[in-house]
Amino acid sequence: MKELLEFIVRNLVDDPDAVRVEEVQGERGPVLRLTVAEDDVGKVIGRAGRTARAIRTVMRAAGAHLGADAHVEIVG
Amino acid sequence: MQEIERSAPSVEEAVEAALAELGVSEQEAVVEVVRESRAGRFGIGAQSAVVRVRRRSPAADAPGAIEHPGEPEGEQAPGRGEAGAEAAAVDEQADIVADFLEELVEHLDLDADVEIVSLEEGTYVDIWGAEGAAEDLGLLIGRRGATLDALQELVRGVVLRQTGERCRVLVDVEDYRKRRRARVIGQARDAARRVRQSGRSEAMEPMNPYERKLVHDAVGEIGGVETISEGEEPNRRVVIRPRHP
Repeated sequence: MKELLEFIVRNLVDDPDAVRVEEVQGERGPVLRLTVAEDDVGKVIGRAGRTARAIRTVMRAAGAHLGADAHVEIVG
Repeated sequence: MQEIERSAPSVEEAVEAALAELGVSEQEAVVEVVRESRAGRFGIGAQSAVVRVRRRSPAADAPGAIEHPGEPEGEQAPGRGEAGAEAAAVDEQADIVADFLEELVEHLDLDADVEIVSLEEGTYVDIWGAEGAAEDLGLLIGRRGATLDALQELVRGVVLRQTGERCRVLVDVEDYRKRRRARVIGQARDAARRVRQSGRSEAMEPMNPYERKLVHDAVGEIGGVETISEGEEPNRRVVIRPRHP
């Protein structure tokens, strides 16, 4: 799941090397904490949050398929 | 020449509203994006998109290849020999999209093939379950196509970053979008004929922006009726109503 999120986000940003995904344990289960370069935050969130929503939708489908649920948190 | 300006949370929605108001399809219109929308951070600094739309005059503007990249252009307006370049740009986008989706399905451990198909209505990048594969690719479609829409949104971002251009390639999974397209257009035409006969408005089911545009375009070809979109996403729907001269 971590690799999938990294792959998706690296394809969306101008600075793929700055993409970091950290797996942490949240209160309600595993969380993938995403960090990107400051200038790329807008690209990951998208117009009216659309890209962020799309990332979460695809990650949810992946989680259901791979049996590994994880909430995506965008730190910036 | 009537020209109207509309604003909405996204360019797509603003264009859609303006087209519906003018009663023309995107092919018949010239769209100018005055301002892109911005999401803002934490809801601060968000700004809506503004577009200016006017009806295309048959002589002055060459037909846009945007919505019909695969369509033969026929006679071109003078000074616009861009059809070849347009097609090449779409081919390049399709390659980018196919590469992205191939790697994505690999990450998902799916036994699937990705292929590029050029049709009259546009260029698709299709994902198909490999022959004999046990998995159902329904997970890539999702409820009412929600996951497919999400893939389209990701692809839009990937194409924008790599080419700086608006994405003109459609993502499809096992022909879901194509089948849905045919059904939506059929339903829109049926409803438009009923509205013309009865004089009473009819609302379509909630649809995503792509499908709403199909409805606007299909109904736009039928006289005596017009379309308008109502409601908020994801329940936004097209209403077909009688047009009063």
